[in-house]
Amino acid sequence: MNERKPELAGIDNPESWVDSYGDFLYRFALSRIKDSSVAEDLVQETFLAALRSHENFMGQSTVKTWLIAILKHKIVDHIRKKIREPSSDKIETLSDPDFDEHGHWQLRPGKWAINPGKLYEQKEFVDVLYRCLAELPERLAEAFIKREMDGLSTAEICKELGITATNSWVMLYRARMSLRRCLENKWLSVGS
Amino acid sequence: MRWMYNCKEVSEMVSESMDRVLPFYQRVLIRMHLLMCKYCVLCKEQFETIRATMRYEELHGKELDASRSLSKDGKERLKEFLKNQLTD
Repeated sequence: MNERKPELAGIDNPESWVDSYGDFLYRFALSRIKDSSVAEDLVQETFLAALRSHENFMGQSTVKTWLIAILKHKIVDHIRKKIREPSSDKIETLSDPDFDEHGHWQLRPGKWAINPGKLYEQKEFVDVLYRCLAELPERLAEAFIKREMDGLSTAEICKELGITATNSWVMLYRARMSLRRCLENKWLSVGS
Repeated sequence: MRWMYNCKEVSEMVSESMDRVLPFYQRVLIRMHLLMCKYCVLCKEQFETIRATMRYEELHGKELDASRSLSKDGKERLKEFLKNQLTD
């Protein structure tokens, strides 16, 4: 605990990660993916990615937070592969069906019966959100995940993706609109 | 400068306002629009719910099912795997 860089304590000894974080990551993966062997694979992939990129770990967060962030990317990647495999018809690329030519709502947003403070009671909603996320065009999803899961600023995202600021706002807007629409279709139709 | 925005523009700016601070006059015009338009309010709420959901999980590992753990074999496999990665 009182080493100079406590959060990097385990970096030299990745095997100790398994004891320290293995179960937590595994449970997290299981909360999104039902299959336990897949969950185990994702934990392994997460450790591997962590091992390869640990120079990037700046100690700005705890190892646990850092590993969870990696795992979340892996989970979305996994869902994406799974839904693209069977009959991978791209989700229709949408030319703003939300609005008419005057910019008025055409498909009006509905009221969501969700209490963001009690999401653990709304597991279905979170499941559908992950699925919708996986259905986004990859680049949009990447920008969105960096912004909302990793908590990067748009300036950081621009740097990482090599895009302009305006570009990043447009991408994030498209991602939010697509997710919104996807949730309206998939989650509301589940009957919540 | 424009004095009226349509819903499409407002939804774009509401999203943008989640990523940067908009100029004052834009914020005022958005707010005025939101006073009159319940669908844009709902859209804003949905954006916020999506954000809250994405960020929420950061904080709540507690709700995970603690009865599920990696098997002993699974842990050994992972350790072995990591050891091999290191020696490669």
